Amino acid sequence: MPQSAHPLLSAQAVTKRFGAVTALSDVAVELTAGQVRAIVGENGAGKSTLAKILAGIHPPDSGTVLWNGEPVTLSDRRAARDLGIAFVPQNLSFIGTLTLVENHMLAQTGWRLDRDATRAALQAAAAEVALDIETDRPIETLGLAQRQLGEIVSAIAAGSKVLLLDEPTSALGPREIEALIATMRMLAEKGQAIGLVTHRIEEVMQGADTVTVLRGGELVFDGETAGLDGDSIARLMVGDRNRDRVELGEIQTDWKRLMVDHLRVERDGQMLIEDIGFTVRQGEILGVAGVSGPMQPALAEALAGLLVPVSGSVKVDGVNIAGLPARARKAGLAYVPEDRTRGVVGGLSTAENASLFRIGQRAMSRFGLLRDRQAETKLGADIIRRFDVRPPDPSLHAGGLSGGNQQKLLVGRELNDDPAVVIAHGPAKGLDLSAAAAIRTALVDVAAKGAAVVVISADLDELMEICHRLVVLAGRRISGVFDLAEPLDMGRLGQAMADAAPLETA
Amino acid sequence: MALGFVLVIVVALIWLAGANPLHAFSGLIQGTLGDSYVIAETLVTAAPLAIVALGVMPALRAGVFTIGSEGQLVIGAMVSTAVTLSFPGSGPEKLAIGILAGMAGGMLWALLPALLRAYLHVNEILSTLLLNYIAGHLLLMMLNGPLKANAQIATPRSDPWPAEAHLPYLLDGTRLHAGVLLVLALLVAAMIWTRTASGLRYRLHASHPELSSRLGLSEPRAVITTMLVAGAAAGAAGWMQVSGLTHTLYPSVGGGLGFTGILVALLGGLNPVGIVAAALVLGALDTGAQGMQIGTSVPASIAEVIQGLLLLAVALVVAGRSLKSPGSKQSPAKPEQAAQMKEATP
Repeated sequence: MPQSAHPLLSAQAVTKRFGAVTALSDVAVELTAGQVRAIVGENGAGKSTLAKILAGIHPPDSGTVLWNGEPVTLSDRRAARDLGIAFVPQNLSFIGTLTLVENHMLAQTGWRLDRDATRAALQAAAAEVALDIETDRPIETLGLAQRQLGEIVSAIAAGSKVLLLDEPTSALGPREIEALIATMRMLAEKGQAIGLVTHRIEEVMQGADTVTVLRGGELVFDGETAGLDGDSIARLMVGDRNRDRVELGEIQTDWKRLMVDHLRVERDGQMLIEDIGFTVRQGEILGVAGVSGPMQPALAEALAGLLVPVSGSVKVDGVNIAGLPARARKAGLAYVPEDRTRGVVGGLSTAENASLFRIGQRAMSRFGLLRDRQAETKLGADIIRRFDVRPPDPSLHAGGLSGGNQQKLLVGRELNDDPAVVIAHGPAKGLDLSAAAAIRTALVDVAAKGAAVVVISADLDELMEICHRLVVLAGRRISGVFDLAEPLDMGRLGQAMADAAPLETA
Repeated sequence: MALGFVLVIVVALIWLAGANPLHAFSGLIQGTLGDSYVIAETLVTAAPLAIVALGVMPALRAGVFTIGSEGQLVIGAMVSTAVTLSFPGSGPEKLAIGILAGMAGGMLWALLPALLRAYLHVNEILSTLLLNYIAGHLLLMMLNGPLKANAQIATPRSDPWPAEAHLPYLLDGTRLHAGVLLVLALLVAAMIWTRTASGLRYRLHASHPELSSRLGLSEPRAVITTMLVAGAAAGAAGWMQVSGLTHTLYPSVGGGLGFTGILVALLGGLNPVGIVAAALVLGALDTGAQGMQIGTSVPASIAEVIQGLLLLAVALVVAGRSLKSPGSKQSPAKPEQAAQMKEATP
């Protein structure tokens, strides 16, 4: 790897695990004064974890972090900051009701806080990179771009030599991104070492001198940006995914069981999904990929009828269920939410959880009124057995089950009644291999029985494994549609994932 | 343990008041169970508490924190008085009209905060609490105006209710009125409801609103239904206080029954049988404290101190229990860990 100067901050052979999941495996990276290094990868590739290890937020399980070539132990963020390593997290860390000056003072040590001196220091730091910042208004009254620049300026004023930015552009508009990249370049010229965590290829091409590409926690590329094009970076990011396909059933009919038309969804006044439309046929599994953000939960909830769309329709077997959760369920819609604690009731028994949708039905009640506990236990035990929930005790509180078994319980309840449409959001997220495999098998089986299945997931490998078709969600819209029966054009997929597909950004 | 703690404090208080705790407790028991009169007093004191508490039970189970029972009780008493005094009628229909008017009044007072909560997300705790004060002053205004007694009396009050609008007494020589049968009916209804699918759905609404809405119970419906039920129960209790006990509407009709009723619902663990038991305990405390005051130098307001201590003890026990079982609430437990998992999941 070409080397202009010795690295200021570097990591060697770092490995980091979270529970059973390996987030980083034997990864090395070097940040050099005067250079911008992009750290890119898909969701879960480990790029933020790497940045957090460099910032002292996560200790690595093995491997070393070096400062000026000397091994250091960064016990926490403060230790890193004292060396001169600043970290600006994705969802900014400053307190909204305080001004920039006050936020900056919060991080200071010492007995006396001097507001005027702090303000002067911040303004000097801002002037150094030709920025105009507001120092005395509550942070929450400023725009996102301003807040971000404020955190950067605060870092410079604190004397940072290394600046780590985690997905700084994810909430910015095109013009603001340009300005931020210009600021980064200027900071690099002043001698800062900059680490830019991103999944957007344009930014890498425009702003970075060197690039580290991670995939699945492993280092796949480390080198200069010059000489690379966007397409090759996209290929490196997604790798070759034409493998490991589950044997999927042929789609027999053209019966469109799920029809989504001109769907627009807002949450808290923020437009999240703009005019999306797609259909899913009987027996088909449609994967929804894309960098995860607020779009995916909004789409999942809108498809399940839980979130009232601004406009558009969601039809299950011809019945419009948009904004009508009870009608959606009656029409045969099963929903596996991303957060399983929203679907599994910890305080109820596993049998009650499993039989929840049948409770109160005539066959499950006495005198047409009271709940029939015996019938509930019988049905619950049946579902628990079929979906291999362990331990197979229907009287156990569901809150006491492990995550994987809770998920099996949830999926079992939802898929038990031969649903027409299944909406599954991150169905195997955070599960161990065998539980994840069991969930995927259940989804493939229910499709084979005739359901139309939508799997929303940040895990591209999972989608490649079990889906017939893939749509990619980016910039509030569908940025690409891929038929997985054919070999995948990885460059095109990478472009769609990276939000670089030609579409007008609002 | 918690109960023992309460007992220690109470003994200390009695001792501070300059009485022998043993004498005081025998007075308390005499005042509660001494003869049929005090037993009847205990029952009629417990009855409105139980009705209010059983009424707010569905709301509290569903996670709707209505604390407007006091005002709803006052309005129920007021509307039933107005209706009873203005419409002629005789016999049992007079009672039926009275209770229906009381329930309607209570529901009306609950309707506004219910609609505000259901459709505009206005905090129900604040709106119901504030409406209590409006209800109290509205009652005073009415008792000085349209409902004012014809006789020349300095204190505001209504005309007395006609005898056929009085709840019949069940036991001669006591004030035990037929309203206690209403408690039994409500108890049975509540016990059935908690064992139905509907009871489960409302309970789910508190912790899993998405799931309950998929089961057919939408947020607005859960809020409006439970708040109206609470209003109807409180209104009926208001009617019962006048029809069964005072026979004339006084400004003091509420007397904190609405607030104590909510306390009873919580003490009873939001469980029908527990609620009735808690209402009996608090009723006994109230009448017993009167007995204690007669026999010793301890003021009857010790009953309120004990009530407060009991609520505190229950709150502490509940809080302690939820702290000890992390399995019941996983999501908010370790947000940092959850965030790590999110990033780490391939």
